[in-house]
Amino acid sequence: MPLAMTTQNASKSASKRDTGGRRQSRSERTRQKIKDAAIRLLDRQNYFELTISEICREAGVATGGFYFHYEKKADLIEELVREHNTGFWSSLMISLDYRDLYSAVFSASAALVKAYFEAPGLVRCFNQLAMVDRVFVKLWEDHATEWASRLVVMVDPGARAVHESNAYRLLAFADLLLFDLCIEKEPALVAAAGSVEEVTENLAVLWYRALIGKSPPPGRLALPNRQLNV
Amino acid sequence: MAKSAGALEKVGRSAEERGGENKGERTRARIRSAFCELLAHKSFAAITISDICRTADITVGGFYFHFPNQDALLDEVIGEYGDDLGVALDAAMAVKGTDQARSICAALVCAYQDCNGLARTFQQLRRTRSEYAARWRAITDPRIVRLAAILARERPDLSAPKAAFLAHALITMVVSQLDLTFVYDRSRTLTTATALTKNLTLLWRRMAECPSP
Repeated sequence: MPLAMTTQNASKSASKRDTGGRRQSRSERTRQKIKDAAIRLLDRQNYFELTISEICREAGVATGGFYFHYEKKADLIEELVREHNTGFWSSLMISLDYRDLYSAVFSASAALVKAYFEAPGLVRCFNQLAMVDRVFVKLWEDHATEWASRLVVMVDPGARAVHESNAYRLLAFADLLLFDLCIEKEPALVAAAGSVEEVTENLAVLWYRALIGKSPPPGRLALPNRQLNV
Repeated sequence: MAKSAGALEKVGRSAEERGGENKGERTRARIRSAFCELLAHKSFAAITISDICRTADITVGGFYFHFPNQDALLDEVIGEYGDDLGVALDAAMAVKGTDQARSICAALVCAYQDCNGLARTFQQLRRTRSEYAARWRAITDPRIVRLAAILARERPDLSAPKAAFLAHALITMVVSQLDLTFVYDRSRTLTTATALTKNLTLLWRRMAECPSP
């Protein structure tokens, strides 16, 4: 997009801003409309195939309006992904407030399941970007490393078998399983997985077992069907 | 163009059947190995036909004589990689008893390690293009069904959907760990095939066979 247009819009908006707060909030509303439209489209569409004109059509915003807020598609997407990530990682870190490993792992499983079920488009987009851009891999790595190191510290001395590398790696396992379930929607997996509650619990059970080599105490399992527990 | 490439393939194949090897066939093989060589260091999207021609030491015309476009070449090499992976998984699953988990883990480690660029490319493609997602499923689905049947036999307490879920989870676990090492190139992950296989087998057994406390 020509730079001239951005500059022009910028100066126009500067003069609008001088007239009072109302105009500025309209501009914020437009920005939000663009973001919401992109999230909706990403739920059904591949990031690489998504075009700016589609986003504008969905948002009911002129193309010029888009370029006023963002220089290019990637800028919008990066903002969305970062916002979603911030929410996800903070809910994952909350899992570390629990004092016992199973509760922590269950809470982490719930946070991951929620992120995937609530905004599958954004999560897929993040995964696609991580495939082509190290910046996104780094974002994941930094948070996952912090989470894993804190999980390991929290574990009681009786469960020393847990080590940080597996804690870190198993986050990637949960991530890929949910990717196949919520984004690829692999029919066989969807059929086997059951409800959201079942997915959350079964994932937590497998995660816990892989970490310390024991099943969680049966009393800890909420669902009546404890099929994965021997 | 596509037609002539198809015709040539037939010629090439019959030459192969006779045990001979003609120039066209050698060129085709050179193109394929040059492409795989490039994939080991570069993303498929960043590779151009002139890169391939330079590496294979052939002309651009020579490339187009064998393949209508770069996607056709990608399609062919990934297709073969996928077939090989399927065969390796079947062989590993035919192993009986306690060694089965290790065999399956080892087969997957081998598929990633020996064809690093192809393994990474396939994982990238299956996340970005739906036709490759379907291909990946065509390879893994039948093996997961088979694994689920084995798990259900060994563990009569598991319901059929739970055996299927567990089978899916086990394969996904191995793939996710290999992605960490080979796709995302994370420095802190295990690198030797032996260490990888050992850790994967441990995680597999813990997930699949954990006794109650």
